[in-house]
Amino acid sequence: MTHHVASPEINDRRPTVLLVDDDEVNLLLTGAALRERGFDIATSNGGEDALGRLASWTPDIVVLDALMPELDGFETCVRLRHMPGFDNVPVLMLTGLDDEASINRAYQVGATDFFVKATQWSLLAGRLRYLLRASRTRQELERSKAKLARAQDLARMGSFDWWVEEGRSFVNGLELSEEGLRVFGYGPDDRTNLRDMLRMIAPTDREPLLRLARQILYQVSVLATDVPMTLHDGRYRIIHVEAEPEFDEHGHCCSYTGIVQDVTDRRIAEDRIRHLANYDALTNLPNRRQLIWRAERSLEFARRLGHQVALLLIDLDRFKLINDTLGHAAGDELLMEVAYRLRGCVRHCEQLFEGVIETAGARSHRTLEAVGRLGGDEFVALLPEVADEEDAQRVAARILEALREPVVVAGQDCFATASVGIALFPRDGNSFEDLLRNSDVAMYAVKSQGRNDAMVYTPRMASRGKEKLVLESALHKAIERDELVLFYQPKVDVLAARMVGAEALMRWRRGDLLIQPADFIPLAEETGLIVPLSEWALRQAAHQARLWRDAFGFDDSIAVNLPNKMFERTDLIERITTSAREEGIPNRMIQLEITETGLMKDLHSVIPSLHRLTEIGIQIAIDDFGTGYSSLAYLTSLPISEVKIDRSFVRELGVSPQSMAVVTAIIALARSLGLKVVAEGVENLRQQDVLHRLGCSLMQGFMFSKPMPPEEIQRWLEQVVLPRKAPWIASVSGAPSGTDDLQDVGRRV
Amino acid sequence: MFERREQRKSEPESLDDQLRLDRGRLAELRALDPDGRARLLPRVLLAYQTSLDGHVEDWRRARRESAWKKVSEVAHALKSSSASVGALRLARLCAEIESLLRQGDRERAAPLLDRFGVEAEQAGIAVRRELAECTDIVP
Repeated sequence: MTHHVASPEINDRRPTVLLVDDDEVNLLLTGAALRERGFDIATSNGGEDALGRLASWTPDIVVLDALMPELDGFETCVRLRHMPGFDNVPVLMLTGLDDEASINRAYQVGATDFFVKATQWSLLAGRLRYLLRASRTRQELERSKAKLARAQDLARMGSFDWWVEEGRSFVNGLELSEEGLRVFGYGPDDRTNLRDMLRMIAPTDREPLLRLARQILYQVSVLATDVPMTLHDGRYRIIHVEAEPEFDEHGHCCSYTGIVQDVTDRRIAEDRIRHLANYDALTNLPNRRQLIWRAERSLEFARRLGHQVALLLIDLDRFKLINDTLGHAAGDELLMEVAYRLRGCVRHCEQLFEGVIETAGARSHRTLEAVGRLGGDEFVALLPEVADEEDAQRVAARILEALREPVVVAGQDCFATASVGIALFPRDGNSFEDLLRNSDVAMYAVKSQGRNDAMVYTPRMASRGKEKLVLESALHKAIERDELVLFYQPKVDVLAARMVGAEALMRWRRGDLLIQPADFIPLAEETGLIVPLSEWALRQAAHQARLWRDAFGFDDSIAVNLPNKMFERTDLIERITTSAREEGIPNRMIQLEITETGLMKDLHSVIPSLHRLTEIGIQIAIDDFGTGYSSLAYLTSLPISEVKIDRSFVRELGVSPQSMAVVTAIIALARSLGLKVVAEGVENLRQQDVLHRLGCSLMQGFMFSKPMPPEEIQRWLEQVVLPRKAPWIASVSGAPSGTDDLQDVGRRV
Repeated sequence: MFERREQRKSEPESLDDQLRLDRGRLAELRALDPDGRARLLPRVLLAYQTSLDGHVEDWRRARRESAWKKVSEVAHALKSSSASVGALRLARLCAEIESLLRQGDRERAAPLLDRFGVEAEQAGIAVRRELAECTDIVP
């Protein structure tokens, strides 16, 4: 099929003919007659001469006289057929009318046809044209066959035929095309039969296949199925078989004809795509999509069979902390371990796809049971049938128990406890979305009550959740609407009887209500609103410092409470210096307070900020000191200027010896480190007296002043501090050193 | 083709006719080169004459040597070319000889073999006459 015999009609050129005859007269006449009928003629007067010419030229057709001296037409034809490219060139053998032997021999030696020598040139020309047409058709057929074979090879496909044997229920005869044989790893000359084929199929797959085949033959329907096979060379392949029945003239099915195709790669890719679409890549648990699918099927069953379904939302406690401190790789490691443990808490069924459930029997919905990952540190356990909420709680308890053991990640023990919210169909929701939302509400209720527990949803939880939503939305608008205000609580030096600074405390004025920080700061932290709130507070405090300086010569600092998150912001310094510059006050008039717990939690990320802030003159105070777990080693090196003793110790002063011990220790520590100590929450003279005796003279508390609007601070100074009317001033005896200061303040006021 | 000639065979043929090529066949040959530009007819006749002379020579030698295969080959070769140029009697004779010799029937072939010389001579004369009439061709 490599030979290129141009199709004369296609090329619109005269077909070329090589006439071979030892008779000059015949050559002349036949040549002339054919030329006149549209052929291009070349002549040879013998076999050898013809073969010589054909070595460098290929005519469309060769006309050979059968009987020639030396190399006759037959031998010439044999040799011609052996020449490369000449296996399909049409050869017409000219024989005598009654020379039957020559006619037969002509076919034997590979001639395409014979023609009886005569002078009826039109007949000869007609025969040549017919041969050329036939040759072209054959070439096209060969080409198309080759194309088909190539296409089948590329598609790893081949064809086959099965014959139905009379009186038997199953097909016996099997013939595979060359390409079909290749699909099964056979060579073109290999022979195979149905039995060999069936042997390549695992017994577990073979029986169902035979059942299917029998059914199809019985129904005389179309066969289309994928068959997993282990080929004789050991390769595992999935072969797609598709066949249609063929009918005889009586309308009886006599055979099946069809194709086989190696679809292994496609199936692997499809399976992979399906897996990626349905499973979480990290934990290999069902993902949200797969969970939704399972949940919806479970709900359908539950509606039909009238039972309950439970959805457990599992959220890891403090996962973010682990992720942030140990890194994402450790976080991932933890999630994988948690996934593994969770999987053991339910009857987790791995692979499930459409169509499987419906055919799996009455209790088949049980196979939908699974634990999946919604994303982040959120997991869901789906229990397709529970008798009551205790059933679900038992599973939740199992989950909490499974997570009680520490998980070793990044070489250290981590406690990955979880909060579990439970919602039940139909009581708590009719759809997956409802159940998920309500289990989320229950989960948050667990979080707010201290984590590491499970709770079943109740409608009361939801109303709390709604309040929170309303609050969050309102807080967003609070800044725009100018609803936030700063109150100030003075810090006083009782010895000097003077104000040595003030702490700015945020309030939210909602209509007639004044909302305390405890009621909205946690929400602000949770939602990220704490950042704009803190920025606003910094600007406001700087503004107030300038107003007071202008009004009464205020020259101390206003302390603003900042969450750790703010210390991680790279633009913090710029924001503070900009605020100070705009108000025309020095940086030192802004003091930042960070809680001890906050500081220690993010120590590494906060320290660089603290250093830079100190460098530009901003003072740092540690708030609620004594409540956290400060490393003393860090305290010595931290760039801080002040510690504030937590109110809980101050409250117990003079009552509990332990508090006294703690406060004594803090004062001693601060003094030795050269830090200022401020006692918070001082409410009575007893506390003031003890503190004073312990050597702490800087105090803050209701006894001196509640947090007040800024304009009231000035009034407080004028009416209380300056006239030395307050009991706390009188109680500190022998404090002449403060007199000047007070007078100084008074003068300025 | 031969059948048509057979019918005419029954008609009495004059000596002049015997020394002429078949008119019908000549007309067919002329039709292949209607304006004579290719000089097909004289070229074919010349080629035939050359071939005839050669074959007659081969024939005589083969008969002398009783080389029957060669005799048969000559008969085969002349059968077709003689028919082509219109030397129909010689063509028929050659066909019969070839057929009998192929069957091995030399006895029945013998009288025919004896006639070959005369028929070949007459065909030669007819060709030459025809060639002479193609005035622009010098034999």
